Order: sequence, then structure tokens, then C-alpha cells
Amino acid sequence: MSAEQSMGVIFGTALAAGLMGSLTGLGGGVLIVPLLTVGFGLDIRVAIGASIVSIIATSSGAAAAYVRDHLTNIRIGMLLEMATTMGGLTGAFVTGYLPSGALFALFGAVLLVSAIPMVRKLGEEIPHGVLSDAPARALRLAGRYPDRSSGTEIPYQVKGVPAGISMMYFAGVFSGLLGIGAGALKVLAMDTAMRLPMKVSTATSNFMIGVTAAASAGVYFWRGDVVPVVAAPVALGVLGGSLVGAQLLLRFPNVTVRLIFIPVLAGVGIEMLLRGIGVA
Amino acid sequence: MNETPQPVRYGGGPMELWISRGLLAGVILSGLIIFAGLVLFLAKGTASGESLTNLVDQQKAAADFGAILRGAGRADGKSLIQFGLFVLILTPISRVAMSVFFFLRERDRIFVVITTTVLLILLGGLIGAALTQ
Repeated sequence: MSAEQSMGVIFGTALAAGLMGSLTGLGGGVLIVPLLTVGFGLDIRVAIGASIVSIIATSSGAAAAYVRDHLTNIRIGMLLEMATTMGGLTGAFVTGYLPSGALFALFGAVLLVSAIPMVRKLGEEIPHGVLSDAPARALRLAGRYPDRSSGTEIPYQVKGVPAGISMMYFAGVFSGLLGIGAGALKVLAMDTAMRLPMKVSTATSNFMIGVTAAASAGVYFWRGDVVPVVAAPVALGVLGGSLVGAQLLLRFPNVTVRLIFIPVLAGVGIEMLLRGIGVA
Repeated sequence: MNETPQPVRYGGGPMELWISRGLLAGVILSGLIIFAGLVLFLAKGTASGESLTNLVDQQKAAADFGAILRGAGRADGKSLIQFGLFVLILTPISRVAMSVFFFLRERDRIFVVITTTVLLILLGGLIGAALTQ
């Protein structure tokens, strides 16, 4: 295959990945790295470099919509970004020193973990009995969000701020290490530690993904891992796909998308894991 | 500090509106630059007759900001793509810079400190990584 044809295929698949990613809320990144490594035999660091940049594109597009829809808790997002950006920098530096096999294995493992929240819906839509703790009160983190189905505004409190911050550091490390948004890990932290309503966790996670990715993308960029011939079709494809996906999301049943996506995630995760430990 | 905090509705304020607009503008701008660079790159024909892995090996080198700017100035496809990717990386960073400004205006001291810290981490990482290459 000539380079032009390869770039065409990469663009097409990135488009599909962006579409799937925005329909499932996972971002397109998790499919980009397997595509470029397993599909095109590229160095995993080059794949991660292209992926981390494309994540900024999708997250910023989605974040713009969520912020406009009043679902994002900007104060919580900014607070936790202190931890995710530090984690992102750590991850990006560590990637330069890890052997490829370890990166494959880690990637596969994280993919499989990311599939869990899709199989079993995590957390409560609106958690009850949460009382804001001292840091949450001092930082005025409690908020309310509009609920479309009931047409009312739902107030919520916030707890577990220190635990949330620590978990976010590790979400940032994985994002920088593997070039993914680590949205599943971020939602998990806000859901289990801070007890935020699901919609707020999802929107706030998306808001943070772009900033987290920007922290590590700089390291990949200067190191030379963001290779133009690969990053350009990936960024444009994922961006296009996620813009179309955001439109479709309104009339597409979420369940169908999940049913298609879960086996894909699991299969790709196992493939990467096996490759990492040298079986495949 | 004992009173129950009044829940705040996020969104709709000037900060949210400008953040939303700024993010979209940055993504669209960088998308256009990357697209233009890609078209110029393919038009030059460097890619034809080469395999992707060969091209990747040619292009996989530490980025040099001066070279990117000079290349973008003379409409070199590869440098334009890199410049567009750099604009994309700057997009969320400018979002953080904008929020520092808004929290300053609201005289919200703690959040001025928090957002400035995030901004310093981002800029420190970006500049530090550039200098250590």
C-alpha cells in the first residue's frame, strides 16, 4: 500500500473511531492506538503521539457543547486539573523510558477496564444523602444542573475532595502514558470518591480531558512522536467523526451503540494484552 | 464556614460562553491549518511511491519550533501540519488562561491560585519539554 492509500485508510478509520467514541462517550482514542500499531505496524509511541493530539480535538469539541448545556462543573474541573496535568506530564515522560511490550500490555489492560462501566452502569444518576465536606464548602464546589426529562434543576453536594484529587493524578498518568482520554477513570473517581451525579461527572470529565492531554501532548510533540503524516489524518478523522457523532447522539439509542462497542473493546484489549506479553 | 453553601448553577455566564466559543474556535482553526498542510504535502508528491513506515521514519525527529515557523511561512505542507497541531495543543491551554482572567475579575482568590497553578504546570511542561530536547 502506498503512503497515500495508508493515510486514506487511517483517515477513514479515525472517522469511524471518532463517531463511535462520541456516541459512547469514550472518545476515539482507545481505538486509534490499536489501529496504528496492530493495523499498520507503527511504533506504539508514534501511535500514542497521534492519539493524544486527536483527543484534544474531540474533547474540546464535546466540552464546548457540554459547557453550553450547563452540565459541566467548571470549578471542580479546574481543581482536579491540577492533579490530572501533573499526572499527564509524569505519564508522558515515563512513556519515553518504558519498553514497547509494557506499553502494549498496559494499554490492553486499561482497555478492558474501560469496558466495565459500559457493561455495568456505574453509580446513581442522582446520588442521595451526600453532604459537602469542608474542602468542598470552602471551594464552593456544590452546584445544580438542568434535568431535561423532568424540566427542573437538580442541586447536588460534593464530598471526598482529597480522595478525588489523588485518583485524578493516576487518571492523568494513564492518559499521558497511553495517549488516551482516560475518561472512564476520571468518571470513576468523580463517581465513587466525590459522589457527583452521573451527567455532571461525564461532562466534567470531558472538560478535563483536553487540558490533561495538552499537558502530555507537548512532551510528545517536542520529542518527535507526533509525526505529521500520521497525526494529520488521525486528528482530522477523529474530529470529523466526533462532530457527526454529536449530532447523531440525539436520535440514536445508546443501548445499540454499547452492544456494538463492548465486543470491539474487549477484543482489541485482549489482542493488545497478548501482544504486550509476547504471545501474539 | 458553617453555613450551607448556596448551590450555583454553572453555565450561561460570560466565562462559560467564552470558554465554549474559544474551544470551538481553536479546534476549527487548527483543523483548517492541518487540512491545508495535508493538501499541500500530498500535492508535493513526497508521499507517492513511499511506504508509510518510511515516511514516518523520515519525519520522526525532535520538533524544532524555529524550523516549523520558517517552513509554515513558505507554505511547506509538513511544517504547516505541525503548526496546526501546535495550535491544537495551545487550545485547552488558552482556555485555562481565559479562566484565570475570569476568576481574577470575580475576585475569587482561591480559584485564581488554582487556575494559575494549572496554567503554570501546562506552560512549564510545554516549555520545559521544548528546552530539554
